[in-house]
Amino acid sequence: MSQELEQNQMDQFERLLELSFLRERRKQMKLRLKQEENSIQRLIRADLEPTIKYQRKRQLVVHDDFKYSEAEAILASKRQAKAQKIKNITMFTILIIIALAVIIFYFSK
Amino acid sequence: MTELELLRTNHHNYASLYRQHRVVVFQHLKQFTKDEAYLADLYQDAIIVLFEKAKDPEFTLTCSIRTYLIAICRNQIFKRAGRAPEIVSIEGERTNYNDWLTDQLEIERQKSQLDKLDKVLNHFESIAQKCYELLYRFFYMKESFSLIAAVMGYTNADNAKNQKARCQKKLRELYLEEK
Repeated sequence: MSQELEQNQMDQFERLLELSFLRERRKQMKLRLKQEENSIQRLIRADLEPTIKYQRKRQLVVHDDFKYSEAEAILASKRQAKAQKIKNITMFTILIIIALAVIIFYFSK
Repeated sequence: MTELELLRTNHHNYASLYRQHRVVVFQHLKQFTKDEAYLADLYQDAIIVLFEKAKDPEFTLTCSIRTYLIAICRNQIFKRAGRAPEIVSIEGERTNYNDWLTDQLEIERQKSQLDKLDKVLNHFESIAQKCYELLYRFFYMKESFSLIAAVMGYTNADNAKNQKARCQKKLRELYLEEK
């Protein structure tokens, strides 16, 4: 019974944690969308006010801002680095083989 | 490729989507109110709903994204005016946005507990960085255990899952200690 109660409390806490991160995520998205709306309003006002001659029309690019790099991006860069390493080793081996072949050919004469 | 599929492939840039449909959605909603700040608030919420839903592979739309955004905004207008029930359904959407609303209501109800947890989480981030990163990746970034394991150096997904349970337990203890 107590085990069941503890499990129940753990589940409740997990839900609270989920909501906490969800609230933060929604807050961040809302903030960025507000910035986007402000930049649109600035552009509208600049168009309406002819006295401002050289208003730079900025396009704000809004991206998700995570505290950590995304796992897929990290894994992709790791894969790329590994592929590059294999390529380098292969090239180096081929070069050594060619060099050895040239040396052997030279001394065999 | 449908609009929704496009959105799924480029789910980071919601600003372009915001600009793309803003004028038409605002025009449509001006029959209810002329207050642009109010409309912007509604429209921003609708974009957030759409982006959250787009991540769910089960989510499908039989109407256009613009129609969906307008429907959400209209429902929000009625809801805020007290003329619609808290939970509503939207035509053209197979999994409706009720769960988004349910979460929002729960967030409002549990505000004080969530504020307390935020405080604990801030402290937790400084004392247990790796644990915090694991929880952040799982809950905030919605990454799978296999991805988390690969990135954070755990041997497999089960190991990452066990570690998450341990971190959660540690955090809960801190939360219970906090007054």
